[in-house]
Amino acid sequence: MKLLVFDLKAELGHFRRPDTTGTHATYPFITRTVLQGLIASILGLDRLTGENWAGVGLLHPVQTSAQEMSMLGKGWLGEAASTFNRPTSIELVVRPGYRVYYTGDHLEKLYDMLRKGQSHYHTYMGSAYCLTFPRFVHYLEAEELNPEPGNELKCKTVIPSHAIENLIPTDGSQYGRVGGMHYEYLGNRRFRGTVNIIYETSGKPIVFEAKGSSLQQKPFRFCSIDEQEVVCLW
Amino acid sequence: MVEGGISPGEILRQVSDVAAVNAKGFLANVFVVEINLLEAEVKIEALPVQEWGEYQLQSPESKKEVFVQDVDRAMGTPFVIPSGNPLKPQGRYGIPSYLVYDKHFQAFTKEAEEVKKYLYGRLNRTIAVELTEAQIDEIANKLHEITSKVYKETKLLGLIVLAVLEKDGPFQLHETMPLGDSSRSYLGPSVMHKGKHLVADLELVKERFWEAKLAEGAEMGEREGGEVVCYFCGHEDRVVSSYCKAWRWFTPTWKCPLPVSMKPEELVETIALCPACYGALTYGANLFNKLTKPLDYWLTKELFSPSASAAGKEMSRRGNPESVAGCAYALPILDNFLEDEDDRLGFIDGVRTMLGRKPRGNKMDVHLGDLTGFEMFLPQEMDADEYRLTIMYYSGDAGRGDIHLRATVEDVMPSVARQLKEITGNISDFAVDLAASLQYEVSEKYQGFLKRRYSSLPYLLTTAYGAPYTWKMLSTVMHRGNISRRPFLSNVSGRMNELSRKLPDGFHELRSEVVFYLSFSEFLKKYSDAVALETGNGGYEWMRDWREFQGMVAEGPMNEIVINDPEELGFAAGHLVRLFARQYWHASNGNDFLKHRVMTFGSSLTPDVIWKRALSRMDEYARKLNMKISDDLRQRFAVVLMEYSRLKNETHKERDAFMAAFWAGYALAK
Repeated sequence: MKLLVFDLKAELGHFRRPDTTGTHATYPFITRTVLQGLIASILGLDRLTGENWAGVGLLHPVQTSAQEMSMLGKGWLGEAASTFNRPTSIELVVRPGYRVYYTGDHLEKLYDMLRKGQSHYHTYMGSAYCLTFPRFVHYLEAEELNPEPGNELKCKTVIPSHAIENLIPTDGSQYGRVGGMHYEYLGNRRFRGTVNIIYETSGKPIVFEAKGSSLQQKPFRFCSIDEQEVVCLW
Repeated sequence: MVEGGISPGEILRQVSDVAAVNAKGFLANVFVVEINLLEAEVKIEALPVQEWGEYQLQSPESKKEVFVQDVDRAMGTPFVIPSGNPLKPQGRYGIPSYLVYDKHFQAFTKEAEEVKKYLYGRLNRTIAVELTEAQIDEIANKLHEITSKVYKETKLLGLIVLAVLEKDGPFQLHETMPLGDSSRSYLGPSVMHKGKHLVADLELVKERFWEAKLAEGAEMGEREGGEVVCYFCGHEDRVVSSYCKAWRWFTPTWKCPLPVSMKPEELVETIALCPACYGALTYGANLFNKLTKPLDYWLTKELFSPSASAAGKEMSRRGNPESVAGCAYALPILDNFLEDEDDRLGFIDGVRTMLGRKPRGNKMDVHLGDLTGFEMFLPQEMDADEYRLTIMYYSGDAGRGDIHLRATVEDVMPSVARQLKEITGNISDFAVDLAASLQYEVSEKYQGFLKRRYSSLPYLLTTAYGAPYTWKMLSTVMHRGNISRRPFLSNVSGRMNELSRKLPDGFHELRSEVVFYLSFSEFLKKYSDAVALETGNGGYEWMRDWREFQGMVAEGPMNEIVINDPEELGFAAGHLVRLFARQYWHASNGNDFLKHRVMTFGSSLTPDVIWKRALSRMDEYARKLNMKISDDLRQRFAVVLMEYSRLKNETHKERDAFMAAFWAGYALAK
């Protein structure tokens, strides 16, 4: 299959956890819904429709920082009568950097846009003040893998936890978990489903025993690119 | 845990506030009203006021008695202490058990009408209880009567329980008292049926309690049938919004960033939960609240103090900083981990131990308060690397949903936490030994002071790197990252420089900084050797153990003195200058050498100043004062001078390392 590879780098990122209001906590890296929204922004779509598969690799170690931000005197959009009036703490991802692997219905158009450095809407890391400019890296042929359950794989992207049978610790690796990330955006601020993700905090490969590919609910695929490197698309 | 891992009584204990310290007062005056709906003619009687607990001596030595609640009894009538205005009814009640505050008592004793108002407000928010107006009137009259007898214008708290006896209800009449029966709790002797007892069935109480919590979620939207799907488990039937009174981080009071196009009552459209997941959310949120503890007060002061200024640090210690709360919990990294029954039971036991906050006498449980800054245990069951620790720090008024996140440290491996704990334990011993070498005699009080500080990881990091970097460094260390020594040296030498201007006064503070400098260096060395993924010291060798190095400089053969870097050079220079300064003091009738000859006119001490005015002019000073200095000391000075010439360029680059080590050598010289 054809796979489009591009990088997203920024000084700041903010991928809001949906269960915090007074304080704005962030996920440690880009979520599925944010990434799909970003691709839709490049293409000039309201939201990404059709079949889309994407994998995310971490280029920098995950690091977050909480800051107190003044929201004094600013009326919140659409609420002129009741002004939003309090100092708010916000957690930011510092220097986020991701390598994105994409395949799907919009492959050709996205390849064309990225190659020319074009984007229809502006692109950002979760919040409008965290601008990012996607950088085309590769357009390559990848080989789809169908691992048997228990097969050992070494994956350079984050993986949905339901794709993992067992984690294999390697020297220097530190596996982390993100629970309850939004899975699907339905439009008009409505979401469906959650997904739990396993990642390596500094971006090293994850070594694990696979559960075998699944095309059931919240499907995932493994494919190998150059030098037998495996990525997980979901 | 929610789905059968633990008994209903324990769940009620954990999700309600019956076992909380501030619940004691309410259970010292319990008013149970027996309402019998089982018979054709409804009867209502109030039981005499009860105490659910007993007065005990505060401590074996104390004469003061304090009330200790009987939690087993209170579990049958679970309540939540309100976070908003306590005089108003809040949330939903699963069981008609209502908290009474002093203002309520004052009103109750005036007239029955006030009791009626109080009851109406709460009964409207109580699920599955239906009483007629006449019945409520009668209950109000009985309560007015009994509270008037009890209330004596002294501050009082209490609990009202409407024990409604009905078919399949949670309250029942039993022939015997439920002694030793963990599925029931005792409300009191029946007034209407002499010899019988009012008893709560905890399984049914629990069901009602969950139903009430679910009703709270439904306040922000509820959907049933059709295409509703639970956000987490995909269950399709009935869902409510994720709004949950226990999860104070999510409150619709702060509308940003909730969708502007959506009314608060429609929050179910964003995150919808089935009853089981909602129960789990409520349960987890309650555990989070119960695991939250304030950071040690002395530590909070340190966290808000400037690290580059000794005087600033001292001022901050006298201040009154904002309190910071911390919470730590452990969860398995993989979903399938809890599918194994043994692992599941281990997890449940682990959570119980964390809630208990007391060591079980099991040496494998680790007290991690030293790492986090607040009280917490990592139980043996959660020690495996299948678990990850999450630590959060925040300030603000959580009760009002006003939470200001300060830091989160996620995915900490328990084995790393254990290693760090071991290292900080060693460092506190190291600091005490070092202080003894500096001061000859260290009082027990001072030893305790040093142990508390030097075993605390947040203290070490904040003093070394400064308040703005505390959380970042804490996260880096817990994730085995590489940490630079340079900012630490810059801060510590800055503080020493400031203190040195006051010499010979303030030498005690300077010695404290020397303890910090050498102890934190030792911490970095141990951390780098045993924990950090990338080892090393930024390109140069670690300074040798100070005792070994001091022995070499002070007594070792002259031809074996080897100085590797500016830091060691600083230490050697400090040591020799102090030896010379002692003789100078005698020869000059009590003049401080540094102040008199080196730091003239209050100038700052730098490696160059030390070289020009101390090391290279020693002979000159000795001749002027007719001092007799030994050939051995003279030769050792010469070696250091030569080494200074060799390492001059490096010393200029590593000025902070040289100066910090200079003061360490100076203070430790004997």
